[in-house]
Amino acid sequence: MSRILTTHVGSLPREQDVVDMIFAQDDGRAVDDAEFERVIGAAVADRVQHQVEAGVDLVSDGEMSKIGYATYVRHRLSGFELGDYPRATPADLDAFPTFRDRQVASGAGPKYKRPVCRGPITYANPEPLRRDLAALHAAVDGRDDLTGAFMNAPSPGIVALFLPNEHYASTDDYLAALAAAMRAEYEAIVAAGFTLQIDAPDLAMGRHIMYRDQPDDVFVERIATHIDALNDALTDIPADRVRLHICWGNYEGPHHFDIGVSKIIGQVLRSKPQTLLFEAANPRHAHEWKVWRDAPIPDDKVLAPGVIDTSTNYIEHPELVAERLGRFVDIVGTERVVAGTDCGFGTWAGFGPIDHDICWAKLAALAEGAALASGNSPPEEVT
Amino acid sequence: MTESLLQTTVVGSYPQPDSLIDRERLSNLSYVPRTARPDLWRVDPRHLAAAQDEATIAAVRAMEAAGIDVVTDGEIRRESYSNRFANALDGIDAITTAVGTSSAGRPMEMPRVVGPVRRAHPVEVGDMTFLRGITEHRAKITLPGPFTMSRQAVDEFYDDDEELIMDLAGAVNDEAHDLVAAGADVIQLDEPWVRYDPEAARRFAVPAIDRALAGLEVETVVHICFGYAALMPGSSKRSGYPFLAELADCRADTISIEAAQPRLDLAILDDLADKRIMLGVLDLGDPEVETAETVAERIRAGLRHVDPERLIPAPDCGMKYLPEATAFGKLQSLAAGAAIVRAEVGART
Repeated sequence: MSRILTTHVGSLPREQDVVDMIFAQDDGRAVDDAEFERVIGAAVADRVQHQVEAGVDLVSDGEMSKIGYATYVRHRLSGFELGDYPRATPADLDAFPTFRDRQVASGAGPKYKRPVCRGPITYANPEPLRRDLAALHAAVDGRDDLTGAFMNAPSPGIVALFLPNEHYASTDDYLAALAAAMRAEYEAIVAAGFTLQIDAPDLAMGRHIMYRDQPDDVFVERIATHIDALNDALTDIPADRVRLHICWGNYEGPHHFDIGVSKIIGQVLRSKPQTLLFEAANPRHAHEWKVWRDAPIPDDKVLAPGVIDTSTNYIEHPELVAERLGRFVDIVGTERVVAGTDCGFGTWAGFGPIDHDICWAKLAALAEGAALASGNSPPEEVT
Repeated sequence: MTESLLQTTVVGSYPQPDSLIDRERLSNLSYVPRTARPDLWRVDPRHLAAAQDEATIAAVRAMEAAGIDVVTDGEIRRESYSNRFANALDGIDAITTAVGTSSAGRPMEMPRVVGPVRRAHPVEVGDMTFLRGITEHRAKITLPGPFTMSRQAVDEFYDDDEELIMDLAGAVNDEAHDLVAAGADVIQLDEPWVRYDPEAARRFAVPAIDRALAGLEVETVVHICFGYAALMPGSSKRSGYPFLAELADCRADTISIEAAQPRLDLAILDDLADKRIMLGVLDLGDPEVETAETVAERIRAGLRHVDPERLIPAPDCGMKYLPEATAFGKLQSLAAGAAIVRAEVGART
């Protein structure tokens, strides 16, 4: 009997020594390379151990070395400087300014400097990636208690949306340059033996942040271009070595302007990655399993729905996890379902609402629910 | 003569209607109830017996319509194959339960043995009388085996395995004689627990079975299996029994074994040359209804080790957890598959 494998979206809570080191590095303060490598390496090993103990089959490095899932690229790509652009706020938060201002005042949001593109983009510094790959290898090699490991990298589209462009003549030129440069990172992750996860909130969250004043069809046209750029960057990577994560923003908020899956699924299904990870647990997107049910999902796609909400400290009951997974099993079969989370548990270093210990408990609930949905919960007694 | 060959039967239970018992909760328990579970029944206690009677008639009619030769009452009145009888005995406290250890090693609520075990009154005799009244077919009724019952309770009285098991065997024997008097053509003991503790089974099980079946003048059966398919996937089942050859020495005429789901190597039947074999030829873990030809092929495989006079085609185990339509379809295939092979055997003789 096949078993539903478990995974999550990538980022995990970082301990304070890791956060301090990442911020020091991002601020340009002197950081000893060997010390950085030691602290991050130990953190990755610890996070992998925690994942295995929680019952996660497909593990990650928790993005320990990264300050954020997209902005970290400024340490690797040429052409970026720190700028002084205001942060765009999501339309749903602006619709409720009292709530928005309270969130800002409470320090719930991330605080880091925003890079701006002011020169030609190349993959100039492979050293941070080399260190990340080495740390993950050290943490997983020789273990027989996990099924596989993945490493995250942002889509060209989300970098283009997050990091303003002052250099390229058009948005499409900027996107193409990012795709060409990020290709090196994508291919290096796969060459190292890991599954590549492309983080692409541009395909959904982009709607209510950067394209908030445009109609849906304009947004959908734009993400078609993003998918093309991504597929180009993945030309030499087999589909089964890469997975794609889409999301609407990993924050507790109204989310009432989130674009529906029904509007974007046509484009999402055009993307090359075999496995799709998407929000399906939080109150704004849990109902959309029906859209997946009714969509023409190609036979080679694997669905990794989020069955754990990463914006709340509620620990999902394993029965609920199993119920959610069961809906997707009914659509594509057990072999093509992976149990996932809505988003990361530590999207930005040092921020995030989920208590560290509750993160592991939520992942354990994920594993327990996946076992239930697989029909693999060990029976107490059979006669 | 060939018509009497390869008579089909069921192991015991037939699916209960969902209007009678909460089937989803029953199968989601992930264990077979040992304590009394009145909460599982959907019908008001004042009307429960009548509802069970109606459902029993429907189950028997279904077995007959499917073409089964030797029927049971479908065990419609039972939450499990064993708890109705076991918990009715003197010396067993199924109300103030104890927490024991399940076969999976986890804490589990169990009845307690608190005094000398005796059958104070008939337990299943009314069921047998009812069955005899509604069918012309040969009729079988099952009782939990003494060894199995000894493993499903926490002993707080005897402190001596053998004494407890033999007292349970005595209680079973008392009931069995009354069941025969009530019209039973076949008495079957369900003893699946011998596989959990083959060492103890080697010491106590055969004498206990012999005590339980002593003096019976009808056909007697001992059923063993690996566990309900609904609770246990086939891939986790062993392909051999740790306690089977030993049953060659027991008093029972027939040994009933699950064989289809675990893809059993039937060479083990060579050890039971003096017994009739009730052979499981319906895989209850397979949600599909197997064809008559598939059943026939499984019977032919059995015939390579057992003479046709000694072979009784049957399901692997009780059908309690199956959807009713599936169970009915499988029994139809069982009867049709047996008919195919019966004709082949007849053509050769």
